Order: sequence, then C-alpha cells, then structure tokens
Amino acid sequence: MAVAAPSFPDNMDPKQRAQHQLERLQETLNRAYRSVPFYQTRFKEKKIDPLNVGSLDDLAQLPFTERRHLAENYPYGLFAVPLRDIVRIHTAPGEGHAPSVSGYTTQDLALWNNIVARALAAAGVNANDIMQIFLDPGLASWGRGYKDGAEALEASVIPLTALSLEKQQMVLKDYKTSVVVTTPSSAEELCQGLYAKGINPNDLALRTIIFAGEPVSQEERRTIADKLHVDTWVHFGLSEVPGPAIAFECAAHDGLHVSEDHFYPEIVHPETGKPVGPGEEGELVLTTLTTRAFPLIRFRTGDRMSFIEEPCSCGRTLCRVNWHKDRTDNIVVIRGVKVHHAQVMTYISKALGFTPTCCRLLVGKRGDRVGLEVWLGMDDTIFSDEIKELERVVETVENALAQELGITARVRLSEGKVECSDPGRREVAP
Amino acid sequence: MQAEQISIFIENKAGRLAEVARILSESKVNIRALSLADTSDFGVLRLIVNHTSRAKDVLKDNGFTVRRTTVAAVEVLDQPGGLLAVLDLLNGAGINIEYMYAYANPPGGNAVMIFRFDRMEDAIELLKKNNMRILEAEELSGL
Amino acid sequence: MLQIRNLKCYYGGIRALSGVSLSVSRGELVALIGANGAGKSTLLQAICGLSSSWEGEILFDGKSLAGLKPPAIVARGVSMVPEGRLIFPPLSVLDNLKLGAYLRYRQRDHVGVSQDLEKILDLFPVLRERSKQNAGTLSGGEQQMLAVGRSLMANPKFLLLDEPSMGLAPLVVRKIFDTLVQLRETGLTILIVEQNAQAALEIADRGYVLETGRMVLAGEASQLLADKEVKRAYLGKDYSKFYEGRG
Ligand SMILES: Nc1ncnc2c1ncn2[C@@H]1O[C@H](COP(=O)(O)OP(=O)(O)OP(=O)(O)O)[C@@H](O)[C@H]1O
Ligand SMILES: [Mg+2]
Repeated sequence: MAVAAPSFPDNMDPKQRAQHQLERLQETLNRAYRSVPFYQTRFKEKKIDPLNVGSLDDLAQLPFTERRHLAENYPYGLFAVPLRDIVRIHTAPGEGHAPSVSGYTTQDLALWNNIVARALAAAGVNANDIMQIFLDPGLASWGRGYKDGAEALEASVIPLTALSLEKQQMVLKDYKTSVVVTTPSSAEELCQGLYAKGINPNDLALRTIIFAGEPVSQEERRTIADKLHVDTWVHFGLSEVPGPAIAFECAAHDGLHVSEDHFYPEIVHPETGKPVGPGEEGELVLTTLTTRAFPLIRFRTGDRMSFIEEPCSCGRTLCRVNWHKDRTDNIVVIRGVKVHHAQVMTYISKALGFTPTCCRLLVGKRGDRVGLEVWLGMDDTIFSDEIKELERVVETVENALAQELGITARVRLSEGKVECSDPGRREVAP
Repeated sequence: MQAEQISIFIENKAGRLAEVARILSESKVNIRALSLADTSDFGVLRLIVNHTSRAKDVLKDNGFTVRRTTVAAVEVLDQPGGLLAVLDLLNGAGINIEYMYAYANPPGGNAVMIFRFDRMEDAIELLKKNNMRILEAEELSGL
Repeated sequence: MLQIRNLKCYYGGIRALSGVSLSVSRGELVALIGANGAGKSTLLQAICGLSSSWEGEILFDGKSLAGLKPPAIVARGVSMVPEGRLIFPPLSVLDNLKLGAYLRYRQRDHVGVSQDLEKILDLFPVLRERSKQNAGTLSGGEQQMLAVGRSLMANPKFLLLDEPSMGLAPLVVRKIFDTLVQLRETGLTILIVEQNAQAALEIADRGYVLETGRMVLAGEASQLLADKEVKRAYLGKDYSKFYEGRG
C-alpha cells in the first residue's frame, strides 16, 4: 500500500507550515533538477542552481513552466521517475499539436485521494452522503479523482458515466443523491431539466453542489442555490495535474483555501511575471511540493486570482484566493474543458488545408447548452464571393472541432481581424 | 471582354452596407451595380464601380476583405423572354450560373445583367456567337 | 524544536551540504538516511557546533545556534552520540557514563545526575552488570549502549545519533532501536542518522533522504518505506533489473 505525503493540519501555524513548504520545495527542486532534463537545462541556461532557493521567496528567480512546454515534452519528457514507477497516465488537451501527458505513482494517487477528501470534507461531505458525479467526458480524470476522494470519506459514489441528462435526473431523484459534483454550466442544465420535468427540488435529497472546472459568478451561484435549495461550493483544479480540488471553499464561502502544503501558490503579473502586490489580481502560478512522478515548477495556470490577506473565519490557516472569471491566457473554458486558442487554430488549419489569419474563442449558448463559439476572421484565403463556398468552410470547421474537442462548436465568420485585445477576458457570445 | 466586379465580405448586422457605401462615396467611387447575397450570419456584397482598383484599396484599408472577380455584363433585350433566351442558351451548353444580378439604369433602354458562370470563357464565346452584346469593362464602368 | 533552513557546510572549498532544510518537532523521532558521503554526519556536526563554517539557519527552540560552542549547545539540551561511539576504553563503564554529565557536575546537579544514572542503568541492565568493567572490554553492541547512555547523562531534550547500528548484528540493532523508541515515549526528541534505512524508518515517525548534500525526499516513515525510489536506493532490494529508464 502506497502512502502519500501527509497534509499538515489545516490550522497549522503558518510559520511552521512555511518551514515544511521550504523543505518540500527544496526536495522537489532537487529531484526535478536531478531527474528531468528539461528542468536541468532550463535552470542551467539561467545559471540557476536549485540550491540558490534558500527561501520560499527565492522561488521567484526560477523560470516559469508553460503549457507549451508540456506539449513540447510529449509524452513522457517531464516525468521524474522511471516509467516502472508510474501506475497511471492521464492526457489533457494541450496547447498546439500534442496533448499534455501526466503520470502518477501509487503515492501520487494516494495523495490525490487525500487532497480531494480534504476539500470534500470542508464542504461537509461524509459517510452518509450519496455523491453523484456529473461531468463532461472531457473531465473524466477529475471524475476519478472525485470518486476516489469521496470513497476515502466513505461516501457512496455514483461515478461519472455517459448517461443522458434525462437518466442523470432519474438517478438524482431515485437514488436520493445528496451531493452532486458538476460544472456550473452542467448544473444550470440539470436545474432547467428538473424544472422542465416538473420535479420539485423539495422532493430531492440533494443538499450540496460542488462546482468544479470553472469559476462561477455570485449570481449564477445564487440562481442555482435558490432553484435547487442547495449549498454550493467551488473547487479549483488543473487538468494538467488531474487535481480537481487544489483549492476549495470552506463554510465561510469567502474565497478558496489552497492546499498549500502540496502546491505552493504565487500570483504574478501576467505580463511582467513579477509578483503582484497584496490583494492584487494576477495569474496563479503553482509549484508542486509533494507529487513524485510529475513535478511542476512555477507552472503558469492562466487562471486569474488574487490573495485574500485576512485570516479566514473558519480557522484554517491555509492561504485563500479569489478566483476571477477572466483568464490571463488564450484559453476558453467550456463546461470545465479547457480549449486552447493555439490548439483550435491547429485543428482549423488541418480541416481547411491552410492556416487562417485569426480566430477568437468565446463561450456560446444554444438554448440551455453551453458550447464553444469560434469567430473566424475573414481573410483573402477563406474568402469566396460564393455563399455556398463560405458555408462549406463553416461546416467543415464545425465538424472538425466537434470531432477533435468533443464539445459542440459553432463557427461564425467575422469581418477581418478578430484577435481580442484582452485575450483572457471570458467572453460570452452576444 | 469581361467586366470586373469587387466582392466584399460583410457581417450580417446593421450598418455594414451603409459603411461600405460611405467609404466608397468618400473616395468618389460610384456604384454602378450592386447585389447582396446573404445568410443569417453574413453576406457577400458584389459591386460594379467606376474605379475598381481604388474601391478595392480603400475598402481593404478599412479592414474589409475584398476580392476582384471577372463577370460578364450581358445586354438583354427589353422584351418578354429576353432573359429566358440567354438562360436557355447557356443551359443548352451545360454552363452553370453561379449568380446574376441586374445593372442599374443601363443606357439605351435595354437591360444589362451581370453574370458569373462556372466556365466564363466558354460562356462568353457562346453568347457572342449568338449575337448577344457583351459590354466591355470600360464601357461598363464609364457609363 | 529544531528548524534548519538552507544549511550549507564547507570543508575548505568543497561543499558538503548544499542548502538543506529540515525540521524536527517536539517528541518526534526523525530519521535522516543517505548513502556514504551524503553529508549526514556533517549535518549533525553543524547542529552540535562541531563544524567551523556553515551558512544558513539552525534554530533550536526558536533560538539560533549560530556561533555557539559545543558546551553551550549541550547546555541548551542537545546531545549527540557520535559516529564510531568514541567511548574511553581504559575507563570503567560507570566513569564513562559520568563523563557524559560533566557539565552538570559543574553546575552541582549531583542529585539529578545520580537519579539519571539509575534510570540509564535500568534502561541498559547490561551496563549495570558491567559497570565496573573497562569500557574497552565491552562488545560492540554494549559499547553502543554505553555511548547512548553517556549522551543521556547530559539530560538532553534532543538526542542526535550518528549511525548507531554501524557494525552491529541485526539483533543488537533491534535492541538499541527498541531503546530509542522507549526513550521517545518518555518525551525525548530524537534525530537519527542511518545508512540502515530499513531499521531506522521502522522506528521513526518521519524521515529525510539526503543525496550528495541535497535533500531529495522527506515524508512519513511509512511513506518512505513503501517508496520505490527509497527501496531501490537505500533498502538494499535489487530493483535495478526492473528499471526501465525514461521513455
Ligand atoms: N574533515 C573533512 N574534510 C574534508 N572533507 C570532508 C571532511 N569530512 C567530510 N568530508 C566530506 O564531506 C562529504 C560529506 O561527508 P559526511 O561525513 O558528512 O558524510 P556521511 O553522510 O556522514 O557519510 P557516511 O555515511 O560515510 O558517514 C563527503 O564528501 C566527505 O568526503
Ligand atoms: Mg557519517
């Protein structure tokens, strides 16, 4: 039986935690430097030896790891242990042609159980609960994370299956589900579906909804909470390290606590890469402290966050962040699935046989269903003065994207340049 | 023997057509003929103008995607069956019409139709052989 | 109780420790494992004030040990059982033990010393049997017990041991380690350096793995015992034939 690196008490004295974080950070850097040529090369290029990192603040000297690096080291280039020690391999959509692949040792899997269990426990999930996981297939690896974490708390789990919305509703009602793990968009659908069927929320055992995959606005939350008579909890995770619950809400519902004994968070200015001032917004950068197979050092998440300086009323001393809807990168999150601008461009080029000048990704809505909307900038190559030719382009690209991304995509041809000035803004298509 | 047309991509939203007209009029370009083909989302505006190159340049400068296409401007007798005669002729030769539209205020009483065929050369040869009048580019834009 | 941050130690121009951080909480038994020359002894010597030049931070009970001489550090409650035992063979077992309380005699704590002496002789009955014998006539295991006993005579809060199992038969190692567990239960905090990773991790709460002057791993002892990397490198199992290398 593998044993995971332990979490420290949620209310540990921050000074003491900082000591442990420093120890874990140095160990991680030493292991990564020793075992992963990518990190060794990058550190050497910058003339940085991990031993220069003598304090947590020194971490800021090290270069960032970006999503493209994961694709560039496809498939196993960033693994820090021999393949023999890897027991699970996950794939997340990457940036560019190659997906990003992450590996797990038995300890890593045990670690994930603990981290997810900790986050679920903070939401009051316990052995009396029946937890239904309702996520898009694109988030299957998170589905497993939640299943294992909930089982560790001895809750009864209805794992992620490819059931229709209708069947999910039947299960929700008949199996007396008390906790649903889902994305805000899917929750909305579920909610509308229940109302459409005339199912009264009071007839359900449902009391908790856990939102994974994408940030949610206060109004969206309130709407769902009011309609379904539930408490809602937000979890933050990364698809690159299938960690659905790196940061989680406590009963105070005031920001998310970061599992900082396992992930060291920094928030930096997206352009300069320098740390932001207290309470200022910036890009979340994470460094793994305890994962073995797949250490990530200063990974730019693209998620926009800000630290909350005040201590939390719940008594946890784990640092807190606000998760903002906009992003700092060219990624759009559709139903929790991250869609990369570069990757969409690659798919479009492949489908059309040439590379169009530009495209812009937005969140589109068709009825209740949220999907991807792609604004394809018209250029001389795409343009034809015959409508049927243009319609063929739309159809070709829509089909290719649906196939490659596994989510519905709608393509709109736009006049000229459609590059957005502020790539991270989460835009909902008009 | 062929006339020149410019095609412009526009989104199907208010004011785009007017914007094109404004840009052209500011550059002293006159629109001789116009057709708009559209779907719910977008449209293709086809124009015959008096200064094709200038029109293309100013529209491009204003961020539009523009293309020059050759078309045939065919005089159609202003009498019943005038257009039908042209269409029958082409149909008989297996030539397809991609699109067609009418020319505004043609000189001399007869109608002028702008055609885009899938086989431009063949079509023009055929029409000429059958004594149909095809307007020259200069003739058309200078009108 | 002990917090080390970013410790660097040099022998002349050679760096034996490259920025090591480690901590031990009150009442914990922590094992530090690593191959020959990793820098384990160097780390212990730095804590005890036996190393002339180190950089970084060593805090004991929240106060820095920088610049303190060994007796001052012993006076704070830190006592070490050095590598190779370093007992005095011509002296009797009893005298060897009393030497360990040298500082306390100077503080005229005679009552305390004789109480502790009794406790230690209870802990190691074999030492009581041999108390009059010259220490040089003891077996290796008995000498190690004597070395531990002598360190305890300083009435430490924190005991450091450098490879206590070295050169001893497994049964004797077991016996000494059992004693360490007993001591931990009385509230003593212990940091043990070992090449015998298996034995050390079996009794420890937590462990650290040192590799050529750098810490590469730390965790619960049970976690490290189950760790494939630790097994391959330190637990003497031959995993090399399964090693597949990077993909
Ligand atoms: N007095 C010294 N002068 C020079 N170099 C030294 C001295 N003592 C130790 N070293 C060197 O420092 C490094 C660490 O030595 P150290 O004795 O701390 O290792 P260790 O982990 O205790 O090894 P072992 O398990 O063999 O006892 C080694 O490379 C060693 O050669
Ligand atoms: Mg040594």
